Amino acid sequence: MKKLLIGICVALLLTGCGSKGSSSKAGVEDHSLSEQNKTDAQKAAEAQSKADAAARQAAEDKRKQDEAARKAADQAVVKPLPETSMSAKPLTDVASVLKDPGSPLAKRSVYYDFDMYNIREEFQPSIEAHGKFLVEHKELRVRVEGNCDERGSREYNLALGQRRADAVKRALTLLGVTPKQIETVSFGSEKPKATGSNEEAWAENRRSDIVYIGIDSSQ
Amino acid sequence: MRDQMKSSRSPNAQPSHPSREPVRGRRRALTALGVACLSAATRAHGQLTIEIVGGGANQIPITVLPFGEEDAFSQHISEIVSADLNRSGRFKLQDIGNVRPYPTEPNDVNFRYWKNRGNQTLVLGKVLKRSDGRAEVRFRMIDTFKETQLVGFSYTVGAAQLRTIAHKIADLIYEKLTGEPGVFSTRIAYVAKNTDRFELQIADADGYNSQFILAHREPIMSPTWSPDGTRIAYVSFEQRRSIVYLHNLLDGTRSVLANYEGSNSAPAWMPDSQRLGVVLSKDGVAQLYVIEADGKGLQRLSYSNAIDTEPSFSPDGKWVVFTSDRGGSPQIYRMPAAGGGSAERLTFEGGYNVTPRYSPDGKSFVFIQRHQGRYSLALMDMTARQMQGLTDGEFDSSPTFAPNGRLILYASIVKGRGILAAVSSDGRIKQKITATAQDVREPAWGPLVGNR
Repeated sequence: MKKLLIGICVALLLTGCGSKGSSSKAGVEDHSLSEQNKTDAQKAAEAQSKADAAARQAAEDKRKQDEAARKAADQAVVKPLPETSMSAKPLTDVASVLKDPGSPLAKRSVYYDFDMYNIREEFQPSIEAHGKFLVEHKELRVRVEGNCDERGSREYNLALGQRRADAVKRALTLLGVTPKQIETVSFGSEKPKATGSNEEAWAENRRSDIVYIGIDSSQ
Repeated sequence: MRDQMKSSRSPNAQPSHPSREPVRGRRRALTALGVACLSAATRAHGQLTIEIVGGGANQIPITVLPFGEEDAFSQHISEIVSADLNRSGRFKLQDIGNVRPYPTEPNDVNFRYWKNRGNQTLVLGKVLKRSDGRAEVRFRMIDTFKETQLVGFSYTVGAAQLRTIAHKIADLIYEKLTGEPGVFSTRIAYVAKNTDRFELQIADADGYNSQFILAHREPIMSPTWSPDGTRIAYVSFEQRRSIVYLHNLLDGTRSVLANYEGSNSAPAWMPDSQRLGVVLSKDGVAQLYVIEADGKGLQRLSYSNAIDTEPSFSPDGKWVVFTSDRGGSPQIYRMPAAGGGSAERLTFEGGYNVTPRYSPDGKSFVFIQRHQGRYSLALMDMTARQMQGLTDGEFDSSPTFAPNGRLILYASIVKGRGILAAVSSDGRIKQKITATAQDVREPAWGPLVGNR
């Protein structure tokens, strides 16, 4: 919401609309732009090039969409949807579900044998839980991070880590998750979670992590 | 034998100069800044100490005398020359005798004395301090048996260039006596890691004058020098994913070479310094591509459903060797660098052979093999197709040839700490190189560039 308001301010400033005061006023008054503001904005917009007008229109459209979304959210508060309909839950509840240690979603890591990238049987339930959750929450995005143990070639490990991450992505998309919801990255053996040169550390580092963007990480 | 290059803690143990005190203080390392510091060539962590842990056969005896008046400068020419020759493993530094003062000109040399002691090849000279503060370095190499001068030069330089001149002298001696170019004037690049900070370092081949050209909190890997020595390509994770950059050492600028979806890595220069091989996963699994140094003209080189990575181009530009797991385990293959043609598998022993690097003469390649759970260096002769183990390390990686093909620098892990090490291409001479940094890895030996 905040970002959108800034967006409107910027759009108005870019169109050279009114004084600094009026544009900040437009920001403060939020989505329910007063008639006064609207008139000012329209007047100014007419004086601008077509491109500027289009930009302003885009901001307006965004504002309207947001308005609608806000109304929908208000409605949800008044008439809560049944528990089973998770897609209508606000994001904070999604986060709490993801962070519930009792949920199958709490397991975010897949572990591998040396030089392998296939997902072992024992991780299928976890993958399926994340797949189902992501299908139900099209708004959510994840980053799958592939890692390797320190042994051997750093470059080969980078390629292997990418393969591990891509294998998780493929498994999730086979469960119906939209490819756009998933990005992959390989850290190879460059970011070991466990330090030490022993089998225990190596096993921990042969791993893909499913990171929920905006919940587990800011980016 | 310990050849202490970087620290004043232990005495300089060159056999020829037992009485000389080291005068170099340990250089202050910067504290970690923890911020990106691009193009800032700054002295920092990760300076190297080189220790020779093996000895070569058929070493050439040589006597390097202290240069007259070299004590007037902080950098002592004869010590640097001796250390260079000693580190190469190809020379046996002889005792410098009891003649005082040391001869510094051919006319001072008592040939009978040196002949009787068996000191056939004598290096001598002097350093004259000029009124403007500059130094005139006069150097000669003499055959005391034939009573002739083998080589002799004079250089006039600023005090700051004395190390450079000493390396040039060592190169001249090396080339005169072995018939091959010396690599003492070359530079190396490597990655130093301190807690949460990665630095891409460049140093002289003896570990001195280390400076970082890139530093940030994310990993850096796979630095590689352009054959003309002006640029370094590397992989950096500063954008939280692997992207290949090109760093221009002449003006400190850099550019993005490859930033496609997925992983971008394993830059490898082609001999013309105009194009590079890179490995991209944008079309699925990691594959080989060729790209121009300005980032244009991307062309796919390999087409497999398996990992293809770590390209290394033959010096004649005709071939590329690379790692691929197309046969079920990572092995080394070769294919025409122009693309097309089928890939030929080159390694068959063991289930893990990676990181091939062509020798400068193109007749062999070094690689990493796993043998009984240990990862060590091996050399493959391209003609005989015979493999020779070079090291017995547990976690050796990232081999890089010296430009004369005599030594191979590589990374290893000893007691949980990343170190650099070097081995001669016949496996006989070994060096261990430690650093003030917590961890050093990913060495890349620079080319021979206009140093003679």
